[in-house]
Amino acid sequence: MTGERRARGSLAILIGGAVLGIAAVVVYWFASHEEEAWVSWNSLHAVMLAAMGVAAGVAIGSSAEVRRWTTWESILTAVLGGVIGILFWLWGLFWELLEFIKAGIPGYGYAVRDLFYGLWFLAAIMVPYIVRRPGAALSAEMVGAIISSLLGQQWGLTVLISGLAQGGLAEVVFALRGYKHYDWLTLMAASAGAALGSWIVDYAFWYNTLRVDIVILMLIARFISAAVLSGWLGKALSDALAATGVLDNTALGRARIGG
Amino acid sequence: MEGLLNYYAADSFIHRLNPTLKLAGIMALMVAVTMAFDPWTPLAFFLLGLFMLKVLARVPVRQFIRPLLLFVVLGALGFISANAFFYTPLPGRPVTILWQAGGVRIILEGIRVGISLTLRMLAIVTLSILFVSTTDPTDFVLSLIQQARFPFRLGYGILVAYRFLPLWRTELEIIRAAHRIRGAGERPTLRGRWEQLQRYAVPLLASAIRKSERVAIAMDSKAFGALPQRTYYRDVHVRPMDWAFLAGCVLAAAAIVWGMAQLGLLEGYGVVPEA
Amino acid sequence: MAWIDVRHLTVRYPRAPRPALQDVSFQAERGETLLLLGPSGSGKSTLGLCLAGLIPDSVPAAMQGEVFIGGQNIANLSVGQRTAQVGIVFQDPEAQFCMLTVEDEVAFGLENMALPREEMGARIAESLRLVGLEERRRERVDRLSGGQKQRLALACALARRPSILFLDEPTANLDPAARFEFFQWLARLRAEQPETTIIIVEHILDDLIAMIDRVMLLSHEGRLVLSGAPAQVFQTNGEVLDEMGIWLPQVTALARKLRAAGLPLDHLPLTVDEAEEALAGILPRGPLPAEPPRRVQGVSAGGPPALEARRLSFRYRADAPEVLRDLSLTVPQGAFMALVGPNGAGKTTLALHFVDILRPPAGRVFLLGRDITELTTADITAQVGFVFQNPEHQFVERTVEAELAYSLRVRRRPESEIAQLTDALLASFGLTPYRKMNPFALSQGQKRRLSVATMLAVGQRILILDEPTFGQDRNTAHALMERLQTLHAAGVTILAITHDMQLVADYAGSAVAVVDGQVRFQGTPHALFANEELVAVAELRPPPLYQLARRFGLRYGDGTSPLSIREWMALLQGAPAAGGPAKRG
Repeated sequence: MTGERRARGSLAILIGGAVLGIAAVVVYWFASHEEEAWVSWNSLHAVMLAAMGVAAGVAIGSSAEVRRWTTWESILTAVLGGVIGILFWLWGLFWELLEFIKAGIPGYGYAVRDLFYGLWFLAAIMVPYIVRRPGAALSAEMVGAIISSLLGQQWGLTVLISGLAQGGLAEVVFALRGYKHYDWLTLMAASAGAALGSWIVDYAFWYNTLRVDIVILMLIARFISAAVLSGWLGKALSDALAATGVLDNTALGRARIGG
Repeated sequence: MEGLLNYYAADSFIHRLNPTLKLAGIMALMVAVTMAFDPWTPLAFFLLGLFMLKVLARVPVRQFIRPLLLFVVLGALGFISANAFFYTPLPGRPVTILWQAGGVRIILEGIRVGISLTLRMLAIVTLSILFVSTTDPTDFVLSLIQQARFPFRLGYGILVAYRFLPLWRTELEIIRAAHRIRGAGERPTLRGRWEQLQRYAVPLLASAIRKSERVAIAMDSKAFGALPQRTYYRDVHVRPMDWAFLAGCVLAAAAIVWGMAQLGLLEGYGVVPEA
Repeated sequence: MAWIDVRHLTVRYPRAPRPALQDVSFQAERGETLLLLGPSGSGKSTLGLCLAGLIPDSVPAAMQGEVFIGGQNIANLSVGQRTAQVGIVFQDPEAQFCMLTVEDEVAFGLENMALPREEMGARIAESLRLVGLEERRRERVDRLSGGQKQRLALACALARRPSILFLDEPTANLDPAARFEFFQWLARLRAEQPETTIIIVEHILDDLIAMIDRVMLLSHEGRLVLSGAPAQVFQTNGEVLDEMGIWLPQVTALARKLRAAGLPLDHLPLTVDEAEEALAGILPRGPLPAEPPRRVQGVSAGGPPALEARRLSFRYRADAPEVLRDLSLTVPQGAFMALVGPNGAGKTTLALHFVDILRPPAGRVFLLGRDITELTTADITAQVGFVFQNPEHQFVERTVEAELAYSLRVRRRPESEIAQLTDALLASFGLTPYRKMNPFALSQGQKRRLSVATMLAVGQRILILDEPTFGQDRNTAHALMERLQTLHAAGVTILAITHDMQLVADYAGSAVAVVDGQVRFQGTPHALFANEELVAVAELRPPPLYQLARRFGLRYGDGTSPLSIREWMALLQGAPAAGGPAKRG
């Protein structure tokens, strides 16, 4: 892929994200200035709305890029997303065991439990690291979400929204790096982006009645977890796979051999 | 692969709906339910979902009772216990303390919110079951491509991924057996499981990648995406009924919220009940 | 101009040390059926990818030379036009479909051509009829058997009405019954569509060769070295083919030997029918011995049986049907036993009971005379090795060396001993040069060797192999069987689950047929094939040489017939056949 192509891809995605993100905040601003507010939102809700706007904009911006992928890139993204989707689903069952940690340590148990959250961003790190195409993070994370929700999860189809936010914010990081750099820094930043996305959605859906210090601790726990379970693990697994030779025809494989 | 949910093939009003618009309608209900904090509103959404599932879609109870019970019991434990201890009231609102010892206290309103959240989960899971058990996965993806302008190569990739799911289960079983014969024991500890995950992941993913490559070449050999246009053997249509369903979902959500407000049961949506 | 005209085609994959194809030129007419032979890595698949125009767009590689189809240089055609000319059937039945149901899958290739819906329906019906799947139109693809999947792949190609069919080892992953059936459908197709040019890559030629018009041979270096009618190529170039490890149809190989022994054969027969005709009247008929030659049964230590199942029953779930039904089997120490039977008969299920993967109740399964339920997994796996069908499933480490050392490390053997044993295994399995390589990056044959070696690392004396020759080219399969032969001679007990009749005929000392969860036969391979009723229910295909012997009424005193070339030669020369396997080729 040429540098010009990459630059155009990242520009489209960033513009998409920015436009819809700003639009969401504008809508919020007007809505919350109504005489009798029909929404009881606070500033965190504004952030959430903005994030969802960004994610949706990234999705629209990516879709044109994703259309340009080869069949091999598309199938690889979807199949890896699907396999990781099974892992998401299994992780969801395991997560139910963690309910006991959460219940056992009142309140702060939420944050302790969230130390295991990071695995749910694996697709958004591993697949772009391998495929290295605009739209890969969002696409893979969405496929993982679709597959895991089709298998039946406690959060139902709301994981599609989570997938959009997680993949979308990770995608923003890859776009900001111009789809040129896939080093530790980028991967960690993308993990953090995905963690932020997940936290925003979950806050809106499940946790906005909890005390602020607990919610902030949850965010920190997710950053830590994302760094290990998706950033580090995603890179380690991809590199282990590349060593087997099965990724020789991917961007990661070519980058490794220097071809 | 057998998940907790599966498509239940049947012919009903819900089954015949366009998947994309069905998803939109159901998502509207899901988002609506998340903005209420009283127990009654999610209960109403839950009953609505159950009605659509059982009466409109005619899905038998055995099809959905297992996931419903599993998630609800476990979810209830978590939500109710956590909110009982760590509920945050709206500014300026008093809380009722049921029991207190040192810094630990149990808050009545927290328990109430916990019940509300549990019912919220119940409603969301029911609505999701409604979608998954009445939508053929192929039609779903084709509809995303045809109606939602989803990139078609990736869409077909999802179908490939979905088709492969049972295969990964078989492969994983073989890999587990093969590693056990190698002398790699499975330890029930957290660390043991972690090591296993990594040990199983490489052969499984390597096989997935190889198969993806072969499928991609096989698809290209049939001119996948070679022409600017493509036709569809299964045309997924949008009929007026599909828009009616979407409108119906939005109206039903509004009706429930409005009705609950009239009854004085609603919390959330900017409605703060009298102290 | 010929329909296919390939001129000076050279293809090189990125980072490959040498081109996959070098200066290949050939022509083919409409309606011709070509067989493409060559050792693995000789560029056979690459040629198919070039014809279909998939190189360089879908498969990155540098291509020189020209390919003309129907008078047009495919380099000047669009991707859609190029792929419309050639339909490909690939080897792996699990990895060439993208849709969930049979009709959707056939429709996929038509949607890509943007055909109107009405025409798709008609073409789907037509192509499914051509391969005998019309009844399965609405079936889910994953419910089809391997053979049906390959026929579906053929239907998908046919529906697009290509002028050329390229079949890339379509039956390599099929059992013999399904392979035979596939070729029968192909023969029917040839009669119905005489205009279609068919190029087929195959290793096992016995049931295929009758429909081949021309054979082309690619060398190790990817050069086209031979081309001609099958009988002519096999007749004049036997040595070249032998050297490359290309296996002739068995009757052809036999006829070559017979001619060398002085029998007046003008032309080489390719099929059992032709062989019957060619040999009629000239086959000397000496008296046959009372019994077939016995195979050497390895070094038997005597003592308790290596493996034993006593009245074993098993079902996977309480509500599932029984897979094993009151099954009893004894595998004596020093045996080289083949376990045959239809798919789903319970062969693998039985074998998994011997290695503690499936747990029998007490008093049912015995290892060297001890109840397996009283042994730990470590005890069992120290005695029994199990080689899975796909070697990659067994790999746990990142280098060949570590892979071999793994089981020893798990058992906490001292490092010095580990190093010594690992070196010895590396050397004896010819893997020393690859010790630092990633196991996944090895060639197919090397992977297979490594998987067998890992199963012997802790000194196992019993080896169970699940389909050891499945999906492999003949060179790899042959090398593996020779190695097992050596191990067997050194006293290792071998139990091989297999559909490969050649393995049974040439190597096994005894055979066991499992049908419907029960042992229906245990005895010599000779007696197995002589039992016609059993051959039918167990879905076996007797080796061609056995079929030929039956046509001539060649029988030993016990009613069985010769299975291998060596036996045939021994009979004809009047000398008693020596034991041990016959080498083909």
